[in-house]
Amino acid sequence: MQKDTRPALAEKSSPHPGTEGLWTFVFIDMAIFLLIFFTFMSERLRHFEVYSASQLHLNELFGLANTVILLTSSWMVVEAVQAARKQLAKKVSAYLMGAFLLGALFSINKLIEYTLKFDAGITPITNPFFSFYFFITIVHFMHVIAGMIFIFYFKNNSAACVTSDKYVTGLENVGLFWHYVDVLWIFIFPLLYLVGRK
Amino acid sequence: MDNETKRLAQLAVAWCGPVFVIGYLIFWAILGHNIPPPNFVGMTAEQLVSEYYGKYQSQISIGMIGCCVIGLLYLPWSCLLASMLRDKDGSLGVFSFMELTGGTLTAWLLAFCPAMWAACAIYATSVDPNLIKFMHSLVWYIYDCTFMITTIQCVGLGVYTVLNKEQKLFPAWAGWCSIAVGIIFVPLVLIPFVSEGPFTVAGSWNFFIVFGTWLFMFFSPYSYFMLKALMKPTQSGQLAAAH
Repeated sequence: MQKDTRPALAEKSSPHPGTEGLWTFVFIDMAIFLLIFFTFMSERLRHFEVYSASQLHLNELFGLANTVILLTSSWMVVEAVQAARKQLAKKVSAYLMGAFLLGALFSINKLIEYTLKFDAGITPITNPFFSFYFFITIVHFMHVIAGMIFIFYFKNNSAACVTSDKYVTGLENVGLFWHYVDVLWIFIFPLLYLVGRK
Repeated sequence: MDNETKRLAQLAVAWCGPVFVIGYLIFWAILGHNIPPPNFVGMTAEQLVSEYYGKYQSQISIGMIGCCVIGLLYLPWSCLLASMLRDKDGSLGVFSFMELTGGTLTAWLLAFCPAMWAACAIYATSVDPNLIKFMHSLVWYIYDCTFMITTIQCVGLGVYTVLNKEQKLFPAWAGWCSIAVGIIFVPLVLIPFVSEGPFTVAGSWNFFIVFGTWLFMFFSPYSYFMLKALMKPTQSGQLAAAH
């Protein structure tokens, strides 16, 4: 196979990918989630028995599966960004489709988990632990849905726009957002499912 | 009206914001004994009357009536803010109207609900406690569960700030903070249904985080930038002239 000798697009003078606006959003969103996590941990320390007993109702296999799904999906977005910088439209489309489908798998997994909870009579008003569980995971889920929308949009426009710097910068922003969603889950999974589990 | 007079008038209106916050802290939070408010879902009607309304009757009455006056200072502040959210051609767009109407309705709630709580306090010892608890609960549902009024204000303001890259009054981070605050309100929907934990009316999230982030992540930054814009004679002269 011949080596691709085309210069990569978006050879940046900026030291980091993505735009300042997206980084600002990520920073503030992260601050809000930190606030949620600290409040959760504070309440957990105050009502340890209730939180510990309730945690046992969560199936860590769902959480583990979602972690693997999101990590794989993040890798696919990384590959898509690399391909976009080399103007390889078909590769961009394929990787983004893979990332999107994995996002859909995460969503199905999450909905199944919620359904099982409701069938067991567990709702956001069952006790404070489950109020937090539903609050944290639903807010994260909304981030996943938003990320999937962005990924789908860039997948559909890969052929027409892959030669433009604006497309590559936009895709870098999507990648940054998607990695952030992934990192969030890496914190949420142990916090809700694993910490202190006996 | 000349530009300098306009600027001074706008500056006075901008100061309505901080005066509202200080006044509301005194009347609603301190005199009204709302730090935090009683967790009415977890209390019986008799407890609510004996431990809250009956115990602090005169303070709550005065505090709530004070809120009826001070609460509406939020209205001119919101109007001024809306007038500063102009597009490049000087016109007011949809986000400005979202901020204006959201702020107006929020101001109404900030005055209307305390009027009802004042009635609860004044009549606490002369009507059935169950009626007092019913009124108290109903007013809290109105006060907190209609949070979308303020969410629309925050999101409209935030989206304008973030998307309108030509405006120099408000930095993008303030816009993102405003949007975040609007979303932080969402767990308020749990108030009618939970009797313990962080999502009760007095809970760590639904009281301290919600009100705290509103004050420090939404109101304070925007109030600061509004005052900063209006206090500089040259910049604000141009600002006033643009209006």
